[in-house]
Amino acid sequence: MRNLLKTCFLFLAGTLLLSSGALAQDSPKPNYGGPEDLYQKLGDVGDGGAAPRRDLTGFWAGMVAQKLNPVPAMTPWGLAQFREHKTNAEYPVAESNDPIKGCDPLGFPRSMLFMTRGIAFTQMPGRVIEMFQFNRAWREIWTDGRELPKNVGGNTPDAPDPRWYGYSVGHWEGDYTFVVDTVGSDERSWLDNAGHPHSVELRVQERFTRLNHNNLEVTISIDDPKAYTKPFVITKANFKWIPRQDFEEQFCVPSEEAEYQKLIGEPAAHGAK
Amino acid sequence: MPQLKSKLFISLALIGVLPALSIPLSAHHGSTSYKTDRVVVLEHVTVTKFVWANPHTMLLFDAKDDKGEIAHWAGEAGSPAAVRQFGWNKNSVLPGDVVTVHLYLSKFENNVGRLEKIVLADGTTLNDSPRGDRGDASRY
Repeated sequence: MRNLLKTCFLFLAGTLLLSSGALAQDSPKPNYGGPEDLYQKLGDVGDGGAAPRRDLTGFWAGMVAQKLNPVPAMTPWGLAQFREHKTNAEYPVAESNDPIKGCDPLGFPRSMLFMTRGIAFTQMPGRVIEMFQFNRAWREIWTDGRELPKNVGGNTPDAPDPRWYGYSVGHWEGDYTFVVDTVGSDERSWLDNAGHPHSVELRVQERFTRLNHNNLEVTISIDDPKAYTKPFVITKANFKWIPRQDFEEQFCVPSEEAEYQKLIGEPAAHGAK
Repeated sequence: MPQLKSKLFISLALIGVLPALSIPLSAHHGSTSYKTDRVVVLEHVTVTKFVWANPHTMLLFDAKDDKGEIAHWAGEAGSPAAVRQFGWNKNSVLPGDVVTVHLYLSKFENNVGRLEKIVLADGTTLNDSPRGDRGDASRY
């Protein structure tokens, strides 16, 4: 009997090994050998000297996609939205309903989680402007002490409209940490590439810390009780000082998207010639 | 004897269950549009157009099929921002260039594919950036 059990165990173990081994052998190794963004290409940028006080000004390189923590359990509303979302990773591009496919705005906070090859800040009295390389979008972060709007997207006549990039206010904690709070993000944007949703009730907090001249890190927290059962930290991201202090141009262009769908997207998805 | 039969039953049940459990390991692999289990090599093809644009760069080329007739192909690679890191630029290939294309074929086998790499006439290899089927990268 022991021999029979041993034989069964070895057979089962072999089955598992064979499955995974066959998968590895049949799959050509993808070309991940090189840096996929400027952030990786820059490597160690050093500290560049001490951080200037209360100043994020400059152009910063980030990874094309930040590493995200798993989201917590979704509410029934959140799950219902999630199940409607067809991502580019799971579906042929022609069948995806990712809003960025048609060049809809990336929105916030997704614009700080993905396509973060380049961000920039400039400061002026009463506000900080954050600029994004992707689509040359920007958002303003008010530092004049105003409060965040209430009832964004509500049903009353005075309810502010949701915005793709929300409404943001910021303040300094000490000289090197800039805290930004955002509400009112338009629900049409996705939280992330995996299709996780957010509601207009979402509150986001970003804590930017200028570590030194050349390095900036940000911790991004999500609080959306309509979509998720608890608040969570979605990522801690790092950005490096871009030596040439400039962006490349990177737009989602509707006519380019249309040509792509015609030449590649539709044929690959539906077999058209 | 009953003890032996029950142990045997458990073992047989496990044998039946585990292959089923192993199936999902292969179901979530690779791009949904392309056969990523093998690379197709098309030698000495002629470039007709190189589209340096978002969301993905595209290489259009003509290749002779088994009957010697010209077949029109289209292959995609990463966005300009992505493939630039791998040595590409908008003039890397020009209409009329003769190159060798390595690609993952469309599941419909209809002359569409995702480039793995191309090799230029002077031997330069241009690799694609990480494929958009990675859950975190998602195109661009």
